[in-house]
Amino acid sequence: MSMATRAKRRRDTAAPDEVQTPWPIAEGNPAPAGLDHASWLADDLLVLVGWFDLDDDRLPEASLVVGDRSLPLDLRCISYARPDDPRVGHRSGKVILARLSCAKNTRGPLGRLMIRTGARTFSLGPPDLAQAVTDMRTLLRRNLAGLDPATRDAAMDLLASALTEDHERTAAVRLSKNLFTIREAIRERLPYAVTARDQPRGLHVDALMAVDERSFYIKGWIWDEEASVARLTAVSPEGSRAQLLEGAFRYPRPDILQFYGATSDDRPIKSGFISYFQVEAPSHLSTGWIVELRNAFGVAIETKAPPVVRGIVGVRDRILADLVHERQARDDLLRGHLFPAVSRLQERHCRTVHVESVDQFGTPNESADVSIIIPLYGRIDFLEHQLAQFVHDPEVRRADLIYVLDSPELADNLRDAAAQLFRLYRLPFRVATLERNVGFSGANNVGASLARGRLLLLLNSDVLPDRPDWLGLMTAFYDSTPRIGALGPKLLYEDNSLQHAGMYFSRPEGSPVWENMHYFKGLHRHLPAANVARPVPAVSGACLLIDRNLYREVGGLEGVYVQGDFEDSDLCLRLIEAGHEHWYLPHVELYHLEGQSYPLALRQLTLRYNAWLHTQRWNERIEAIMARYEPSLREP
Amino acid sequence: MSNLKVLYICHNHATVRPGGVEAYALELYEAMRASDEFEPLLLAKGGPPVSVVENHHLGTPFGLVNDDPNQYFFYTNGTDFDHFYGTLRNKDIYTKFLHEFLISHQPNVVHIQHTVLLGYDLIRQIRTSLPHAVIVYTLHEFLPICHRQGQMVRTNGNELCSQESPRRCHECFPGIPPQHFFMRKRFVLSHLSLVDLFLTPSRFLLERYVEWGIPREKIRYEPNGRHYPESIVEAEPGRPRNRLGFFGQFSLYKGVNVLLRAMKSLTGDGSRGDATRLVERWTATPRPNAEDRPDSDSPNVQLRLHGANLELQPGTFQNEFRELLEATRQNVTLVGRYEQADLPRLMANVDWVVVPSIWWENSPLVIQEAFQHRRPVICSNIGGMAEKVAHGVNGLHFQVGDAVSLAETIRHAVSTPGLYEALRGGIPEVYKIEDHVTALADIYRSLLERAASTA
Repeated sequence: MSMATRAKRRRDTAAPDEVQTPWPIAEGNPAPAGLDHASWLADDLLVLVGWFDLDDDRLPEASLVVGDRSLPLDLRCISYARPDDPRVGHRSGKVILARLSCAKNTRGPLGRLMIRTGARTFSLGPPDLAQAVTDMRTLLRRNLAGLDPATRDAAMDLLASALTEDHERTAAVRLSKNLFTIREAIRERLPYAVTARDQPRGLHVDALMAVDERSFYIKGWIWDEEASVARLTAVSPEGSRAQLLEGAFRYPRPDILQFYGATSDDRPIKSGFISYFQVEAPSHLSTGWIVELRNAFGVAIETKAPPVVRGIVGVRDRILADLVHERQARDDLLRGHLFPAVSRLQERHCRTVHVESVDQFGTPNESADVSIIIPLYGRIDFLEHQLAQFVHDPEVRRADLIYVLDSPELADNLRDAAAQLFRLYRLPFRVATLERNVGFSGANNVGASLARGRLLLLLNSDVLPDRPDWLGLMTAFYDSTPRIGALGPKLLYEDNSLQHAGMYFSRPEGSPVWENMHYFKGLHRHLPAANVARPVPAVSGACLLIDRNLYREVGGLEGVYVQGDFEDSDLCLRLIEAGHEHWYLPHVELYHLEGQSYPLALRQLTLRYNAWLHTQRWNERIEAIMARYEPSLREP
Repeated sequence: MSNLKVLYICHNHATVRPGGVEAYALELYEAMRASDEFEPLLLAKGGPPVSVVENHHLGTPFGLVNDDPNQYFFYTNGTDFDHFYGTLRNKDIYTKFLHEFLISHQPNVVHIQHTVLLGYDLIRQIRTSLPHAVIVYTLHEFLPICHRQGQMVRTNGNELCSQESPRRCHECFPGIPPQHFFMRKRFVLSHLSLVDLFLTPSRFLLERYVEWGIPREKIRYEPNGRHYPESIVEAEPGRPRNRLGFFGQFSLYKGVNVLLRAMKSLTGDGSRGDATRLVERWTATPRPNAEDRPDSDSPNVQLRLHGANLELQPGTFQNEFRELLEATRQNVTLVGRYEQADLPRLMANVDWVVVPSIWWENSPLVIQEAFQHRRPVICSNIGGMAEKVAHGVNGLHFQVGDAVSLAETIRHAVSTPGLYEALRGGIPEVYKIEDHVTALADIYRSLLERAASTA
């Protein structure tokens, strides 16, 4: 039977002007197409190994015809040379990954496989296809294990690309596990890195952290006495490969030099490496990561990475801690690795959050003029202390008091405590509980979305008023000041020294970064210069009054900063952009008992990160603003 | 018109565990009951840690003391009490139970003797439940001011403290941040601001609280009145006046070891170097002339120790107490625990009463008792003691914490002819509970009138 007649007989399933090629071809050597084996990788993923005469550059169209339905297939493939097979001839071998894009579980009855390229269509009938289907293990052993390492790596990359972000979680993990099994079956194993003094080279991963499903942050060290390192590759458990060396941050590791008996004098090598990287396909498994090192001589070793560290806040804080490895004046690590990782983590941290519940205690004042928004994070005991002060303050009693809990694990405790405290203090307030932690900016923005008042007062939970009537003074000043953006009062430490008398920006000589400074911080509350109401470049978010509509117009607090720093100044800068001015009001005094829980060392690194980011966003603008403010403000 | 109801609230009932404030509260309650104008109620905290017995009635924290329909225990959970902020964490005890109690009895006056283990929050509940009642609060020590059991004695070297601040308190308790001390004061003052009138049994204490933040117009000096004893046993005439008595807790703050150290040096057992070292340890500045102290011709002095609760003290204190007792056993007799009723009999064996407290004291019961039995007092020269005992008039002062000064004072007391009789003659009449009741009635009435006129 000639190809033409076969093609004619199958005309019912193909366009009339196309030539159909049956596949495999039984007779004739070499054949234009053939299928060795097929195997299911997942319910909607079929792996095919075979060959066919096909222009490598063009992505073929394909479908699976079951009865009278034609199901489109999404096809990806790689090619490799198969010179030894007489059936194949000059044609290249193919590993094909076929995704059934419109059907759910289609592992059921197989139809006819049609692959269309240009004018030709290869077609494989159900009996032939069914015969080719085997289990994955057989396919790997017979068709892939014998290939050269580079082809196996390419095949693995192809299979790993089966994982996409839109997989449902359980299916994704199942697929990941299958891919891991495949990777273990076909990958080229390198000599395992041994950390010993008599070894010429070493490789170790200290930590591997997940930034999201495709982005990771890795740190470790490498050592090679004989040649420079040519390539450093991370291999995900699912088989995706990513190159780490280019752009990696390298830093000295005196402990490694010492271990190998070298001194920094004779080997000025930066053994430590830190790299933020992305893999093509998402990775879900925590164990199974491999890192490979290849030196300029082509000698290679590999090592296992420790289990992937996950959890947004924990990972973020560990990454920030690495800032100690970079000198103050440089920003290679920051720009190339910390920032992409941390900003992505912050984005995940602050993404739209659902309010789990809003509990109203007492009868709300529906016509409240001011909404007071107080995020609670980590500690809920401040609630009792604020209520004990607010209860004697008629203006706060009339306000719309909203506590936003940003520590979901404390939700039950808070609701119980709030109910009890309300019965004792009889001061109406609301408690909004978020389904997960979203950070300072997210919590404030949620509070703002719930607000009923015309004005918003952003207030920290560790702020206690010195005396009643402060709120009325603030709103009166706000309403009588044209073009006002944000209003901030005097804030005091517990020893009556100034915590806040307005904020300004300062760039120390030789520093590339603007710092947020508080006027007269640490000086006495009665310092004459601190007792003048005046416009300031910014005010603290610990106690900040703003028009609710204005707050919304400029987008509320920005979530890119870490841990309640710089959100306030960023807001103030956006308000200045919009033509507003901020004021400091000294005759309103509140105590701000700041910084009681956050570890100091991490806080300083966080500060450095935030300041760098703040400068990236606002550098020129701040320069212009400070040129306007500086001389007049220090000496009123 | 029906009698005005006065509710007294105390942190313990005198019949459960004796103590100065508890004894006074019970006496006051009983004296008020004799008045035909007032009907008193007594609500005393029950349950641990004051007593081992817990409330055994489900669904109510209240229990009866005896058949008296006006005396109740208020069982609160001692472990739920936050000793730092002075509050019960579970607020239901106030908003549910105390509220029910208050509106059931409708007292016109609530007079608080102590809020430890009960919480300052109860003042707020009283104000909420009884908007027209008058709230009076007697301050017996410095607990609202000082986290160190209200003693105002610093943790480092037991130096006397005369001013709190977040910084200084943090120095005493480095584990507690200064911000917490700031919050503590704000919290306590928030509740105390609902009190109509504070009473203090000493002027010294009054001034401390005014400095701390209680408005002067809301605080008033009113000494604690006492029952007059039925009999006063005179010391037998003619014998030398060389018998000393100590009455009180065997605790660090009560200074019993200062007294024992003085006894040790007086009875010639203590070596000179030993005494000097002790002086250095216990006073801020060593006395420059400590070396000149005469060791010889020790007078014959006898001391009787009446008190208890040594077992509640820190081990180092207990050990020193026992060592000193062993070293002075020729001249010191440990009598031990006593009841109020034993006092006349015990006083009969005592000429002088020694009050060597190393904390400020306020209005020590023991000074009133000594004066009731017409015994001159030798006491530390500070605070409530110095206020209540006039040096050279009805007693003698010595340098607080200084065993050498105390020894010299005792030597002077027992060996100066005519001194004892002169000081005895200077002892004032003790303020009688009946007079105290009259004064309190005036206070309650004027507060009620003022409340009625502003309502």
